Amino acid sequence: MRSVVLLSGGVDPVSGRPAPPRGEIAAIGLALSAGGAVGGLHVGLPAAALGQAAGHGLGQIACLRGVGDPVAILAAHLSAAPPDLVLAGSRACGGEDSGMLPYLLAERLGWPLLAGVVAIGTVADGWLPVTIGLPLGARQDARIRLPCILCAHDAAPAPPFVFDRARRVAMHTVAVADAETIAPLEGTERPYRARPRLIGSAAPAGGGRVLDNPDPAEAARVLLDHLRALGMLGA
Amino acid sequence: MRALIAGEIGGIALAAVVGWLVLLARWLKGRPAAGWLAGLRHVPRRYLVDVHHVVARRPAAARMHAMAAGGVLGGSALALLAVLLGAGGIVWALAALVFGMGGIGALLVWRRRVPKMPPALSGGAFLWLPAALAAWCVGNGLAALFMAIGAPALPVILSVVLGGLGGVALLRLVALGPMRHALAGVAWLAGHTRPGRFSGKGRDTGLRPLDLAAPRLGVLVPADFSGPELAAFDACIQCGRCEEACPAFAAGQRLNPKALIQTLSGAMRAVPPPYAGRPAPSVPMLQGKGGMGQPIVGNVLHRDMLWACTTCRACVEECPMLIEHVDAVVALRRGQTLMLGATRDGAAQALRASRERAEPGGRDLAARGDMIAALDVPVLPPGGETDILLWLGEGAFDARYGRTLRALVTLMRRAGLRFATLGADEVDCGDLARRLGDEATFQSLAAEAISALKARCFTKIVTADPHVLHVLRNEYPALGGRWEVQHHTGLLDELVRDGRLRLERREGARVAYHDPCYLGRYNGEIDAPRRLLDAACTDRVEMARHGMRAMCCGGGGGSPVSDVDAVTRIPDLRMEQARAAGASLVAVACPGCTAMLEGVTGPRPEIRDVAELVLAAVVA
Repeated sequence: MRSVVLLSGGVDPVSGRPAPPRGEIAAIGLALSAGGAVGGLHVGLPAAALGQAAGHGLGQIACLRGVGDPVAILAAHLSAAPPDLVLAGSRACGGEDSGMLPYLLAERLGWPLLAGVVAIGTVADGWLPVTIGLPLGARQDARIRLPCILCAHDAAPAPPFVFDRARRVAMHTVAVADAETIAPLEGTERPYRARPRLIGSAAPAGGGRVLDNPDPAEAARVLLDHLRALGMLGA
Repeated sequence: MRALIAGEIGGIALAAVVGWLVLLARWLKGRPAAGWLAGLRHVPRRYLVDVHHVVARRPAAARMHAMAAGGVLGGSALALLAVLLGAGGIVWALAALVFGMGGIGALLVWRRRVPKMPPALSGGAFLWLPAALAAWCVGNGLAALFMAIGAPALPVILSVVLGGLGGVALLRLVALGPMRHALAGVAWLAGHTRPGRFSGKGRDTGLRPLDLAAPRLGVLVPADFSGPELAAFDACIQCGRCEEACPAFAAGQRLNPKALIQTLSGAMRAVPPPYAGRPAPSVPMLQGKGGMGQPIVGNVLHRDMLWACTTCRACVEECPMLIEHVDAVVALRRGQTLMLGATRDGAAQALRASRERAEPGGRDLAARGDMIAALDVPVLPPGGETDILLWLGEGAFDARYGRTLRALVTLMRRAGLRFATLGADEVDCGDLARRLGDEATFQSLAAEAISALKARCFTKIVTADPHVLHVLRNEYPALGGRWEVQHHTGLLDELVRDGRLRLERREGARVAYHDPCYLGRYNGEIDAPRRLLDAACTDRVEMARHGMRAMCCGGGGGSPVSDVDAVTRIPDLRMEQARAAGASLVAVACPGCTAMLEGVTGPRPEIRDVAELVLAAVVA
């Protein structure tokens, strides 16, 4: 099993300092749990956030030095020597951050993609069992054919940061062919404005019932039924 | 007869020297320490002055130790002298007298644990110590006496046999622990890792920078400690003064400094002698096999023991062997954090925020000045110049501590001082990261802070946070940042002394001052806050534990972010001590202490910072 984790030159949204996005750290954790060789992959020059990401468990990171559409550069690099598994976070932090890169990459490579992955199992017959995190803590089991792209859930377990790993990372630059350039996004920037909160009946229907002073046994039964309906207690 | 006595005493002394060399061979497997054995020349002074200064805080223990140690060493030396010089009865009589004093010392050693053993003392092999001491002193003392009066051979031989048995027992007690302190103490005092404690100001509390390029960062196995530190662990006499002073132990947290040091001593050995003192509360015994290359944490030392320490140095202050417990804790934490990433979840979050946001709480640096925004304190741009740089610290994000900062700024304005802050260029000083063992994050924060400070001109730094004070004053110089750093109580004390602030004593509350560890024990500043309070309040009382021996609030060393299990809370214990002193108001001088003591629930004395009390008393 060979896994590749896609890394961005992350930036912390509060401080503006280099910081790997939470989802990419979770992706490293998933890659480590899959076993086998794990490497990082970044399009662009080595960035400070990459070293920090390595501290979470990457021994080596390849930086692809080419100009143009990163999706094209990644697709060309990955199809030259395809790994079994490509992992990414849900979205980068600090660039244009559309969250579309894994999907565009999957489309171009023709690989399957699953998003919101919180855990992965062991491969059987070329299929990889994965667990997907859904809202309200629900979990869904799925399986996906290799090679594939997985986007880690932001809340998937994150491996701890180890300074000793961060300082030992082998970061090498790979010169690659330039790809077609993409036009910069056009648009206007305006300050963030808080949207009105959803209240009352406009809130998403979570199901459930309101019980007024119920009998404890009745209340417990209703709670259990509700949790089962959400898939949090099994069948 | 002379040859017999010389053979007996000399033989035991020689065996003790060999024992010392055996121990030394083990300590030398630790990291090398420069000039260690050359430090042997300092030992007599360090032993007779510095060790005795601590021992003498308990006069009964000091008497016991002086008589027992003096009797054993002095009597043996005199007896050998009598043999070698072929001296007459006078020297023998003197030796008998000194041995007799040692015998009384042995009696006092026995009385220490009989009829009732104080809980902080260790039992086990220690129960045999008085008998061994008594046999050595009485046997050799009688032999000397018989030599002095010229008695026949038989009584002398019997006495020498008794003394010899005592000597063998004492040597056995070196291996078992109780007598090891005598041998290991010499090596530790010779190579003490903080020589600054013995000279000049008598204080040396800053942590040493770590070379981040070294292959092994911090301590994972006993051999990662330096040789003298290993000797320090063996030098522990298990007197339990540290555990009596430890706030974490008192609160039922999983730490006992004595058990920690004993565990580290045992960690060097495949088969350590049994420990017969109190363990750390609720810590399961680990059955791992020790050895110089065997991991310590998780093998022989439970990992919870590491994270409960508040780094308050109360144990260090009390230790008669001058052992540096906090250095050992931080060295072990460095190994766990830097090499393994094995911190507690809460601590990992604080460290991540320190790395990525330069602020352990993860808050926006530009929001630090919000609490004093209404006072329009100027922000000093790079290249700017002012008299005093006001370092706000982490407490500035807290609304409660904002009141203290506003009081301080108001007082500084009244005194006509010219000052400014760093604004959003003030990063965290790195105190929390460093105490949690993350030396890498500390050094990067420190480098950023130092470059921000070097870009500006000012005469001194003033801060209301003793942790900042300690880091900037005592730990930045090793990284190239040297400035005059003053705590706000020191500054206000100067202003009152110079008449730039005039105070009128306010009647009302009975005030007790709670010393912050990082101001008192770490920096020795215990008088200025008290002078201020005496000038501002009519009624001041002292808690039983105050000044250099004050009890911690529980807020230091990253303990609050480390999810530490406890039976009770440390600030609750401290507040109980304030109540016992009859205080209706506790004066504090640290954002950590303020938050911890204000967190005590139920009816309790009020909490006010010294600056707030001074502001309430200022008349001009």
